[in-house]
Amino acid sequence: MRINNKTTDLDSIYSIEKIKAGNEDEFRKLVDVHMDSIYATAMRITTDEDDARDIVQETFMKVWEKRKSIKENKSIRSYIMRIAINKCYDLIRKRKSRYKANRVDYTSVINEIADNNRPDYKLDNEEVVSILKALVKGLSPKQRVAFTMVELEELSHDEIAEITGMSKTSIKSNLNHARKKMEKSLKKYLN
Amino acid sequence: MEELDRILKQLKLNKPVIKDREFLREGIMNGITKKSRRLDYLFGWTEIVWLRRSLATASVVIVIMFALQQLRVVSRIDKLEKRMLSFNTEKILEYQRENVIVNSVIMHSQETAILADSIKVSTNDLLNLIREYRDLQTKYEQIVESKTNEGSNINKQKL
Repeated sequence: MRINNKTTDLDSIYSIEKIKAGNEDEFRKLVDVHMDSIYATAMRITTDEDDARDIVQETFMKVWEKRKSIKENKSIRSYIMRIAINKCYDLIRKRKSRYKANRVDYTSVINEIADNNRPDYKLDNEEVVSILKALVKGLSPKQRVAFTMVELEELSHDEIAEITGMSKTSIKSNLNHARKKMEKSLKKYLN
Repeated sequence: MEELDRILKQLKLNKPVIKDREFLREGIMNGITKKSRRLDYLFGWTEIVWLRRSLATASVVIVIMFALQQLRVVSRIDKLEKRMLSFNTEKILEYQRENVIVNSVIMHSQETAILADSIKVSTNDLLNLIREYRDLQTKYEQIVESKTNEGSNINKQKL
């Protein structure tokens, strides 16, 4: 999935002008268009379904609150994503202890995927969460964000820099550290 | 690491999906509706232009009034301070004058015959005496002045 700095095709489904004026029906269209990707990103970063739902809800509430400050010439998706990422940071910091305490056995799922190389392998949310938990367990919030956005969302460094406010160098170094840590923790789970 | 790439590939392909998508969307919409209603109720009046402008004007007037009042209070305090200062100066001067008289009386009494024999007068009594004396002197001067005025009036009438 790619996002541009300028308006995208998806943006033409709803009218930013009407949303800024307080039109709730137009806002519903915006929610419809963006909620899936925001949910996926939030879930990959937080590795928790309930947290991801909360983040989606809070993000769109904030977008509605701040609708008057939306700039029409910029990508609304980047704007929404920025809010969501900040919410993720807040949540990870707040619930740090809970993440550490949550210990599940991921070994079987990880080994199964690592051995099979089938493109049609279907994972449900719980399996995705289990694998992500195992991989991102020791990562810092910035490393999690860099890893999710580069490796899973496949966004460019420029786009990530615009969304997160991190410099390109910081993104690269966070990603390298994240990969090293993940390789290390993966070794523990592989038979 | 090959295994990691394989796992990441699977994670990329299997994007997390929202369960009860409609429910979540309606939750968001209900939330913003409630919020905007609450905001309308609390801050809806800010949309009324004339009310907003008149309140802004009123606040400016109140601030100006407050500043003027403060200036007035400060100038009054200034005046009072000056008055207090001049009153205190007069008092001090009078006290010093009385002291000079008391000292001179004491000095004089030391040189004369009544020295150290039988009469003992306290400083306070002496001060009272001097005050009485000064009052009498003032009254005397007033009487003399009035007499002089009366005399000049009679002369005028005669003329």
